[in-house]
Amino acid sequence: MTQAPRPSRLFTIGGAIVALVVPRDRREMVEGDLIELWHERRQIGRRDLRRAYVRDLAGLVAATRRQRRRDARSIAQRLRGGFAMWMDVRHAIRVFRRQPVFTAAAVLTLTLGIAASTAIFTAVDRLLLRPLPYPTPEQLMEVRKAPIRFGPGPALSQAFRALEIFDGAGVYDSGGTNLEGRGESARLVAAIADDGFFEAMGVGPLLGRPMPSHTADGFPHFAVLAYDTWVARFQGDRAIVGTAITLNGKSYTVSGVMPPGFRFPGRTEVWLPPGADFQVTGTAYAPTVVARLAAGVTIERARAAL
Amino acid sequence: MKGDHIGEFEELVLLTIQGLDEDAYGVSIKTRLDRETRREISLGAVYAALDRLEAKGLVDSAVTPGAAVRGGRSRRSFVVTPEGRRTLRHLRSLRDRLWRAALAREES
Repeated sequence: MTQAPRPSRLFTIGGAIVALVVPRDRREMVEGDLIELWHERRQIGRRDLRRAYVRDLAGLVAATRRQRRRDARSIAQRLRGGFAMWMDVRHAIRVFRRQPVFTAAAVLTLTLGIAASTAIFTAVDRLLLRPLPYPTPEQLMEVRKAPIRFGPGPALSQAFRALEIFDGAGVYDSGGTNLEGRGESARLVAAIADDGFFEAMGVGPLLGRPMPSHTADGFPHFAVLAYDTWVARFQGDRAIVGTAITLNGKSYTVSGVMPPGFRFPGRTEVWLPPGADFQVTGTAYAPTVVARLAAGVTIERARAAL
Repeated sequence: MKGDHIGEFEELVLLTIQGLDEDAYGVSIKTRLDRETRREISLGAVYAALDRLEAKGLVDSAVTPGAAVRGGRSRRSFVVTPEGRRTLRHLRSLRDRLWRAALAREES
């Protein structure tokens, strides 16, 4: 007849089984519980100490197996979920192949729907949600048909500024110019604008100063850069103010850099004084006048005054 | 709400931890449950219930130093969290309501 193992041997065997079924960080605590239970049972005079110890171990093994089965079921369920989705995708592809007209109609409907939603959101965002990059835009007024024809000199702006209904007035027009002399030539969206334009818009430069648009000598060759142009073409170099750049073969001194977001009119990349280069907008000089209404002056009163 | 649904055995373990004067850990919980239920509860079942209760946020555990009777091995001690106490109160009021209804029917 074999002799039952001594407790120390039993605990060694028990420790080995615990090591097999219990995670490393819990083993010491589980072994401690098993030993403590042994001593507690011995204290109350139980005779089936070894059997109870083995039962405890068996309970541990059974509980671990149940937990592992539960974990495996959970993984299997997740895998089944992923497989089912893949089957759905394959089914959808087969249906699309069988009914190409329906598929084309569905794709077209979706495309139009998404495009319309995007367009509406863009319009709402620009018109209603995002503020315009200049102060009190409701006071700005555009005069498309100037009553008298003027040349590119300061007279047009001065004529509007002389009216009491305006706090400021200037002229602008859109066009383009070629930036040269800095690596490859690049086409820039350009605008002509006089000093009254920046004053009427109520936006000052981030760096430098607004360009003087007219001097006693004629039209000075100054240029004002948009923030994005300054960053993209001149690497955000603060020393750019006062240095020369070449536009359409003519040299201009950079007078200032406008703050981020200000690109009016359109997506302007550089502003030049009127008269400096007629190639920018074409030979006919027909700028738009932008004027800022004086406080308390309504559009109707301004119309009547003009 | 997390931890709302617990099984009967989990409820017993949770209540035992809450009612233990001494440190609540594997042996003390099993011993109390053995005595109260008058049957030998498997230590593995107690551990499994404790793991589930902890996963549901109804108990918290911490490792505490072990006594000489355990060969100096550390213990994993448990306390009931506020969420666990809320769950116990909810279960008790549910049972009370059901008991009242059952007793009222028995008396009528």
